[in-house]
Formats: sequence, structure tokens, C-alpha cells
Amino acid sequence: MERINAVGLNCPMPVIMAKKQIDEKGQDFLILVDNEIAVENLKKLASSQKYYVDVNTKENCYEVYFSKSEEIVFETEDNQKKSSWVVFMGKDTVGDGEQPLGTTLAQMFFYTLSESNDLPEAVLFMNRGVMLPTLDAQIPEHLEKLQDQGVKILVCGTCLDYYHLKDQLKIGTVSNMYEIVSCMQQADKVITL
Amino acid sequence: MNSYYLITFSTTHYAISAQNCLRGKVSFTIMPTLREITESCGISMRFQTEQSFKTAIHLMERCISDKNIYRKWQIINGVPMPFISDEET
Repeated sequence: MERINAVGLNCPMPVIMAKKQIDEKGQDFLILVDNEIAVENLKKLASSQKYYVDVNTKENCYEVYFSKSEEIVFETEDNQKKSSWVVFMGKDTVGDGEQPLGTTLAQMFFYTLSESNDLPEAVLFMNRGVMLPTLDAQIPEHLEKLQDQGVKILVCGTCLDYYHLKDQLKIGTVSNMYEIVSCMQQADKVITL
Repeated sequence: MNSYYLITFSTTHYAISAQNCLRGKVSFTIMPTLREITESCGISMRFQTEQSFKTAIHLMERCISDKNIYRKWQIINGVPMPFISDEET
């Protein structure tokens, strides 16, 4: 089995190295890292790429084992019949009109979505879209309901950092471009509002 | 149980004005107007308790002089019924 040494490297380098390995070889491999953030990001990568992941903690480092196991089935038979979709919010409004209407439409969209039976795999927030899971008065509540039903709420960490909103995230997971792009690639359709 | 209180508006602009009037003073949720209510615009305000609903109406009477631009509803098990307050009976 191929071993990749990513000890001493900070994110996103271990994720980039693992992704490269997956794309080029597509086989089982082991990657060595020395920090928990890298382990968590590698787990996310494994999940998004439908790899089985196992972690062994060694002295001052972690062995993250990626395995392309057929036992890992991410979708139930019922889910497989439905097409998968994700929602991309690159703005804090629906559409490009006036702000008060756009904000109201966004609130109504997430209210309606949270009441629906056909749910997306994920809701992705980037650029000013990160205002919604942080500052909006009611959307975090709808997102929590969606998350409780298994919808992934992924929020661009770079964007949170840019708008100084990292401490104000009320719901969802801080994510990165790799995970967000991967979500889009795996979905049958991406809906941008 | 799917029961709550609702205010609907004759126009979208009044619905947005009402949000500005109530924001920070009373708890509400913006939602699409129920399909069963046809004579209003598409934006509604939902209130989970009768107390917050009545507070909202009281505040709105100060902000919006024309009472005909909004309607009050009680939703019982998903069915909208016009809300009639004690003073109106």
C-alpha cells in the first residue's frame, strides 16, 4: 500500500495530496499527518469521495487509512431512486432585485424547504451567502431543521473569514472549496438562487 | 400540532413595511402565504403564540393606519380561519 508523508504540512496540503492520490491512482493508501484538523479534513474528503477511512493514532502523528471498500454504501435504495440535488447560495438574497425583497424571499425559500419532504443533499453558502447562516434572524432556525434531517450545511470558511463572521456562525460546518466543489460534482443537479 | 397565527397583506410592499415595524420588538417568522388564502400577497408573518400575535397587531396599528391592508388568521391543524379578537365580537 502506498504511504504518503504529510507530517509537518498544514491544511490544505494533506487534503490536496490525498485528493491527488485518489484522482491519479484510485486505490487504497495511507497518509501520515500530525494534526487533528488535517485528520478531520481528510475524513471529510474520504466521505465525499466515498472512501472508507480509519485512523490510527501514533506517537505525535496520525495514520489515516483510505480504503475503497464496497461495504460503504452512502445511499439507501430509496435515495438511489431520487435524483440528488444541492442548493448553492452565493448571495444573501434570492435574485438580484432590491435587498428587502431578496432577503424576504430567501427566508421564505428556506422556510418552505425545511417543511418539504424532498430535501437536498446539501446547502452550500459562499461569498455574501455566508450572511444567512450567521446574521439572518430566521434562516439559521430553518437550516437547523434541515441539518437535523441529514442535509449538509456547508459554509465557506474563506468567506466567513473575509466578512469577519467566523465567530457568528449559528449553524452548519465551516468548509472549503474542495468539499463544496465535490458536493456539486456528485449531485445530479445544483440549484443556484 | 400545526397550529399558529398568521398575518397576511394586500401587497408585498405592506408586508415588507410591517417587517420593519415589528423587527426586534416581537418574534415572528416570514413564510409564504398558504395556498388556501388567495386574496393576499405571497408574504405572510407567522406567530407561534397568541400573545406575540396580539402584540404584533397592537404595534402594527401604530405603524400602519389602514387596517384593510392586512388580515388576521388563526391556523388550526393547517386550516386557516379568520381571527376575530375579543374586542371585535
